[in-house]
Amino acid sequence: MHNDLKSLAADEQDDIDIVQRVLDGEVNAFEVLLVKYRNHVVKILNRHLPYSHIEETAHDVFIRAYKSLATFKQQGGFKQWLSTIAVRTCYDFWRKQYRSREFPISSLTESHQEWLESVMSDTSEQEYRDKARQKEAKEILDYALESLSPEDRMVVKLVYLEGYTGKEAAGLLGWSTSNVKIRSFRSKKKLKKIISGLMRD
Amino acid sequence: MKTFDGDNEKIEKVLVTAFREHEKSSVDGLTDKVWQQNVMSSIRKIGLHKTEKEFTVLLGQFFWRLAPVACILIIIMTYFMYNFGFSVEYELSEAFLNQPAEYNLLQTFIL
Repeated sequence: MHNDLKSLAADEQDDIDIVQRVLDGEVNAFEVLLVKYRNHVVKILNRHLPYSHIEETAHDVFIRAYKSLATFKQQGGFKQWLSTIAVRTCYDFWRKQYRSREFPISSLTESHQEWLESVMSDTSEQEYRDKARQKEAKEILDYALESLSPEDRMVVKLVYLEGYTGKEAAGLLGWSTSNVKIRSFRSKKKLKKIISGLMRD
Repeated sequence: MKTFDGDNEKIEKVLVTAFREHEKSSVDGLTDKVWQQNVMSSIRKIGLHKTEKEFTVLLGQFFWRLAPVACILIIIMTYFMYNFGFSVEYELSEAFLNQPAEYNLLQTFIL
């Protein structure tokens, strides 16, 4: 445990040294950070974006990180700082999509209705897991999230799906904790309404 | 179909599980060597990092620090204007009319 903390601190110090080298003019040193954290960034983007946009957005995240390197403060470490940039880039992506309405809202089919009905009749843990693995589950989740505003979508994903606390989500989004708490309460209500609306009368 | 809170909870539970299952899906290979080279090429195009902070960054940093000072100044000025009035033009005109030949703006402040 003690050794883990020690190596974590050493790792953070390494990152800080690299950042300083980049700021001193050694542009190529940024590649070390790029290689070290690209998978971490891709994992974050995978939780928030469609697969086809991950690669391009990951590129944008590192460009944004490079441009803002002078504003990097050492509290929390480089990884945490980069995570906030990745999450905010996802938020910007959805704001842009929402404004241009590039993605048409998908519609649900008979198979989705059947899936919903079968979930309601299932009881065991194993059955839940099996249902969750079916493609309908992801499609219904995407449908529900598409109906939310970019702000609500981010809060639902971070707080309810990923399990971040209000404070952590606020840090990642750059909002106040109270704003996240109010929005998470409202967005969960909206999501419930959307899910209820999916059931056939 | 009539739904109950329990049904909603079941669906929510499965959807959360679906999200976490998707999270585990492999995204390896998305950022390969070619991708890495493209990013570094874009970064090299941006060029050397500016160590001097940009105006907008500086403005953002100092705006809130200077805001309380500006508020205090506004309160002090409002207090003086309320108590003594804002009659600079009147004072200047009076000084000019009383001494038109030798009028000197500096004297208005010294005397």
